[in-house]
Amino acid sequence: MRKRVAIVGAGMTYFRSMLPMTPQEMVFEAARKSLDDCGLEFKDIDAVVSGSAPDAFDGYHHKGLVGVEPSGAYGKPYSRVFVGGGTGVGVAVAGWWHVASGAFKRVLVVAWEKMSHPYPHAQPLFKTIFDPVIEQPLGPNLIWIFALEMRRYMEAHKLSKELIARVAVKNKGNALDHPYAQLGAKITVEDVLKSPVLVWPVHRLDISPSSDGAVALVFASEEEAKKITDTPVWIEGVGACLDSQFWTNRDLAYPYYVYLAAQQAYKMAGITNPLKEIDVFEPYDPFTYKELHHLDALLGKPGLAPKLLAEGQLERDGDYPTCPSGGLLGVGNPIAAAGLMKVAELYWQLSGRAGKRQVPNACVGVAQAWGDLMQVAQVVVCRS
Amino acid sequence: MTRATPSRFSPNYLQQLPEDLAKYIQRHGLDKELGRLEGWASSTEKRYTEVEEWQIDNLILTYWHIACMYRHSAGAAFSRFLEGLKNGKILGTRCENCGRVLIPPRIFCEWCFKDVDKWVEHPGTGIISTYSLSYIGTDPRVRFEKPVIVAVIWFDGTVKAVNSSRTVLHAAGMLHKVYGVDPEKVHVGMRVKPVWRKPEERVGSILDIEYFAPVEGGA
Amino acid sequence: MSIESFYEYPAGVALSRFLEGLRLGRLIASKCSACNHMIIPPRAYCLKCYRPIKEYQIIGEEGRIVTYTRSLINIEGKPANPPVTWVFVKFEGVDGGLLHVLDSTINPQIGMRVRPVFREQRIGSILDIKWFTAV
Ligand SMILES: [Zn+2]
Ligand SMILES: [Zn+2]
Repeated sequence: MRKRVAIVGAGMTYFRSMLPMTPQEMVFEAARKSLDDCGLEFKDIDAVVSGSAPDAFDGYHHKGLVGVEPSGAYGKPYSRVFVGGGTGVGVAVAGWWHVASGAFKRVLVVAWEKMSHPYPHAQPLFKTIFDPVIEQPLGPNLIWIFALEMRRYMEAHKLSKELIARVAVKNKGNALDHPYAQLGAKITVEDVLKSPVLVWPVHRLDISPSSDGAVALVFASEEEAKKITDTPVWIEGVGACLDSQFWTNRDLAYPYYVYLAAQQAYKMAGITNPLKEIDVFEPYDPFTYKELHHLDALLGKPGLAPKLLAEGQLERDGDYPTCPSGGLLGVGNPIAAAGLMKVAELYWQLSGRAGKRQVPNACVGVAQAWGDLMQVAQVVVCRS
Repeated sequence: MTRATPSRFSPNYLQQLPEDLAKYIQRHGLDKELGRLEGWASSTEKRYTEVEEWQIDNLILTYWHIACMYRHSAGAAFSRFLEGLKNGKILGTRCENCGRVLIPPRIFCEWCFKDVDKWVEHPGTGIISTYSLSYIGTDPRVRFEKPVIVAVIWFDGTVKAVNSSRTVLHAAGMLHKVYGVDPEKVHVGMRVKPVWRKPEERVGSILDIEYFAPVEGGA
Repeated sequence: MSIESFYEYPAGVALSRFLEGLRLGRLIASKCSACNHMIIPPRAYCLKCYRPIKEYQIIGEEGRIVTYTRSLINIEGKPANPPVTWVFVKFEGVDGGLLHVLDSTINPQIGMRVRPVFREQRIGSILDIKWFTAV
């Protein structure tokens, strides 16, 4: 019998392009805050689930080990979860398994990233995600896959770059209200279109920044959660789905694997009409078009998200508030921490703690992350 | 105000170290000026932590270099594929169960979870499924005057729309570059064909196809 | 194919103090103001009570060898000439310890009393300690 799982605490560091702390210190700050948030101590935690991107970014091999000490995982089960860019939400999904299985009552879920260690830049390391035999010899960079996917998506629904640029305007604007955000800003569609083209159709301002940061959440079983807090946020559904690495064999216009992961989570949560039943959406937005691309799949309606964007429905005060946090585009993109930040945002929104970002009467939310070679989907549905 | 100080292996410093260690450090370029001192110094001026006790007066920066070379085995399917490229042929496999043509080839069908051992040859003509114009190289600081056209090519006769639980479409397809067309004129659906290197220049690499070019008279 | 990058590691809150200490020829440990637990290399958080650390202290340089090994290969994986003795040294009243090299003229023994020998030029690196030698 599956146990009910609640989020009872959350904490995060500032997201910045360069944080002077070590990854260990960042993990400690996030973990300490998440425990202070719910009045627990490290000794109250039964197990720790951690997540972080490939080791080459921090420059520590086997870097899961750096999370052990500052998360208080001494003498406890500790694991590092990795599903590419999907890790941040994947680590929440794995944290859910720990409690839902009945094996653990209180679990600390933590994700961090230190993207500022590679010098001069992390970007050349991203090349190594491509197949070494048939893709790397072409001299790729990471933005290729996004540009290819974006172009296909634009073709499928006849979307303009002007419309897609509104995602950056919205999310950077929302991030102005996020106390830990790196890139909150008031910008215009013009600004996005006039920023340098890197790999057309992708301009610089279509892309989230590279960032350092850490986020931690505390999960508890139903019995424990009721003792710990009056405002638990329940994880009502989780979903995870991967497509194959042979990404040139599928239509990039629609991430069907995201749809499948969302359907798993909705089924578990008893959601039949996401458009009607969900109050807050936090789709993964490392690039502008990705928010729409993923929202299409979360809604199960290819091409709907751009229409809602055009109508202004995705604004925080619209009918379908999307990335009220400010998303990766505004808050920042410390890979795994960015995904978990979205789950933290659901916790803050649904427990009424989102401050200036608060979406009124938010009861149900969905967070999603995505990664690898356009093939990973991780989804969490929460309810207050 | 916080200082940022590099712990830099200057030539003088290296003289004190054991010879093999000093040589290693030099060979890896760690005796050079590295780093973003100003960036780090300014990073400590913004709020970086909410832990009150955490004051940094002098941020020390240390440096290292990681360099690993890898020799990847191409495996059963890609070895045969690369051998085919060397001979000017695009080879794929076909799953007899679901009928899909698999390019890049594999010796298993991940839909049917069955072995695949039937090999097929494809002339390499197809359409551009999607494309982008890359103004930067693998190193993002390298900026091109004229963009490189990068595309996914779907091969003729292999596109199969399905409503399975796995995906909505399968196509045998490949990532490559496109030349011989103005970046302004390239479009989704454009017909292209492979342009091969001369037989004596081919080595069994994806680069044995020099690029894809528009098919004359094609739309 | 290759995976290659330079890395720039900021030493952060605690290790910046430690490296600055080495530059000045001192060993620095962290001390928890709540439970008095001390540890080297220093941490920015207490491993006993998980409170942030704000106190750092210079410790006595004399320690004892907890364990050692002799490496016959160098950093390049080639024969080391002479072989390098690696020691782990613990300090009285301080948790943790330091991994470093032992004076090549000394025969290591577990429990042996040792102290660090600092290099003349120092930059804030673990290599600022030349090696540990017998007291
Ligand atoms: Zn098949
Ligand atoms: Zn303490």
